[in-house]
Amino acid sequence: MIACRTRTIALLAALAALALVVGCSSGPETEAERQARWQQGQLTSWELEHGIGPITADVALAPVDAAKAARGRELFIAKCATCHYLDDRKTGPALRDITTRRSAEYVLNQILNPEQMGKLHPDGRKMVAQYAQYMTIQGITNDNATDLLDFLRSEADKPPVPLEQQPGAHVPPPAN
Amino acid sequence: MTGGCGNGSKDGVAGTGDAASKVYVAPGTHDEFYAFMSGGFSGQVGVYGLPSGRLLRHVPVFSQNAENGYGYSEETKNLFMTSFGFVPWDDAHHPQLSQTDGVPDGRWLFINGNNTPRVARLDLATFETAEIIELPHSGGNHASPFLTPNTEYVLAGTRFSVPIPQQDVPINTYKDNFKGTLSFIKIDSTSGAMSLAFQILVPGFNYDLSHSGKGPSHGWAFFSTYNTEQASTLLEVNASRNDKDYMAAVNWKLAERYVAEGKAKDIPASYRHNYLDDARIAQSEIVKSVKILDPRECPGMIYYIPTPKSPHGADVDPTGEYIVGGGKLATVIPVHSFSKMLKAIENKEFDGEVDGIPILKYESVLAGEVQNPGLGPLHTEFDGKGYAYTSMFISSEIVKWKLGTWEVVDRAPAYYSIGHLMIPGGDSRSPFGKYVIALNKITKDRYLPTGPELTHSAQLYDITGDKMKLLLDFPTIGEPHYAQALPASLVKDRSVKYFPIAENTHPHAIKAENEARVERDGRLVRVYMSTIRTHFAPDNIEGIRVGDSVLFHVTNLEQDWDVPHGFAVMGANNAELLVMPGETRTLAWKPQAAGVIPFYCTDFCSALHQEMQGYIRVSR
Repeated sequence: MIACRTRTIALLAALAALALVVGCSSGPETEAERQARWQQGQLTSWELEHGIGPITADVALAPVDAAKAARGRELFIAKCATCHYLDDRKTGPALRDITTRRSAEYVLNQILNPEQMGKLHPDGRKMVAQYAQYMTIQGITNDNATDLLDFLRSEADKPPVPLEQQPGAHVPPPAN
Repeated sequence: MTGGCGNGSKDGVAGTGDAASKVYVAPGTHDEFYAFMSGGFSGQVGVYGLPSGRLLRHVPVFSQNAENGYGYSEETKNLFMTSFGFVPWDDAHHPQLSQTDGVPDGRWLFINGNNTPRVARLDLATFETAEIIELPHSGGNHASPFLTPNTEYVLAGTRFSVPIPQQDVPINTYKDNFKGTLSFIKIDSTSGAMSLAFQILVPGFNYDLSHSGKGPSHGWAFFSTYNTEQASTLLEVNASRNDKDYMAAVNWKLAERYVAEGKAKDIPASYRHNYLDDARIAQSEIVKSVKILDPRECPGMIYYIPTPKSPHGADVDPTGEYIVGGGKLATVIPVHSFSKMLKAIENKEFDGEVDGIPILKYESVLAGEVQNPGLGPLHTEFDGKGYAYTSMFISSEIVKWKLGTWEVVDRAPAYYSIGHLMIPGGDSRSPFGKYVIALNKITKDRYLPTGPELTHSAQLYDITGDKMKLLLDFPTIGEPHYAQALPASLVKDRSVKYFPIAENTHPHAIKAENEARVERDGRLVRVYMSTIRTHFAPDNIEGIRVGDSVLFHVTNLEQDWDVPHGFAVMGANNAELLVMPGETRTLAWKPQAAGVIPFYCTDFCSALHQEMQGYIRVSR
């Protein structure tokens, strides 16, 4: 469902829209005000659905870009596969269908802002409780994050595969 | 000797509550200064915050450190190589912060190894030892490593003279066969890399401490000497006979010119130069010769200034005009004048010479003497406001006196037996002031007893007013021999938080977990291992056999600040590894018997840290 929607506001758009949402009367919310509000657990309904982090407005989702998805796959192997398989639980949850379970904005915020997502977002906190740790910060940039998003979108509708065929799977070496 | 008659009282503390508020740094806030204190015989550097006195870190330099594998890991072992082989300990004395225009710039910290003559460079972006160079033709690298104002050179004078070249001679032929050297280590201005540019051959005295000139005296350096008697036995008596020893004044710019003109001789030598390469792996190279200048062939390069009596410190004031000698057995503090020295040289006001080195007339160079300063003057630092602060070892006090009038204006007791003292930037062209720190050798009753060995200590005094006020006592690592401090802002913003994994050029690094593997090459087995919260890959290793040599190349794939992982193997005969984010470190291991050996992460990394473990199966 989410994969088909169209969005009109650009990625990483200005915060202006948020001011309306929270009813701030004295102009756009400052970064400090936003951080303070998050600290106090006062999340907007948009943030509850789409996460907290650098993505603060709806993202215009184009069809999956094959080149971006290919770059995202390499990045997934280097940065994500230490803890995530597509179809099996590892340190963290399996991610095959993450883009159907969560909005693109939520996925991007989780990648770009894992620490605050784990500490301040109610769904993030549930995940931390379930997996007993915060998702690690891997120094991923905004561009890299959208590459990862396209990779995950490209994998979402494919059938599960055995562990050793999943991207980045570490297969224990045979005894020699 | 404790000097004071201390009973552990609050002597010198003017209102304890006031003092407490002046050193209080609230939780979560930062100190104003970094202080780098030598760990003395611990071979390490202690990093403290001022004014709180909080220990922030100890950086291993000349001592192996099992805590993080420094000196045990394959990447760091070479830092300890010398012409004597692997020497895993030294005695670190004088930290020196790199300078630009005579003021600390926060890039590097140099420190000497006193015992097996060496100089180390610490990189203050990573707080780790990046380089160690050995010094040939030296014995006891004490007058070291003192910097020129733009970090052009590190200066290093030998404390113990030795036969040059080394040879089997009777010790009582000291006067005929023993020589000293003053070494000039060139510093690359962008990388900090050290190379021994040249040495000056000097008479067989003991060269004790040094400082470079600055401002008008830029281009000169001063070294104190003792044992100008050239005794080789019972020095406490036999090296204390002369009424005056010397301060050596070296025109290093002229020495540089003599080297450029080809006046230096290439003398065979063999010494080690060890450094971290771009892959952060220590390389060790043997260097086979050194250029040596002989003062007899280099007129105008070096002069001796008579200085009473067994001088220790050689300290240059911020203006560059005054050179203070700490005559540790003298009843006065002599202060030499640089401008008078130049005049005396011009007018040839000499009083003989030693091995081609003219001896200047004491009175011709003297600016003044501080009368009755106390007993055992050692070292002097400056506040930049016209005052000097001298440590008095025997009378265990700090004496504040005025430059120019030479009058004592204040004194404060130290508990006990103060050696060096330190004002932030206090040996620079522009001291940062605010505090003076006493670095004390003996603490006796100042702390809870800990058996026969007690901590050494530092004491912090406020020097913003007319009178010094003791604010704080704090214990230190090893011996806080000398220290330097600078504003935190010069260092903290450059601090590395992690190593980008994409820039890891270690030949045995892995960039992703699916590259983790075990490779066998005959009896050598390489385990390419990754770490991330909260597992190793591989975590089950089979196929290892008794008689194999195993190298665990552990890459930490984390890319976040403050997330090292540890790696420890049961029965390993070396140490653990502590691997910083994005870094690769290697532990060598020889399995001894068939069985299954556990390994685990030692650095508490997450809630599932306790699950971060694995097994190695060893077969016959």
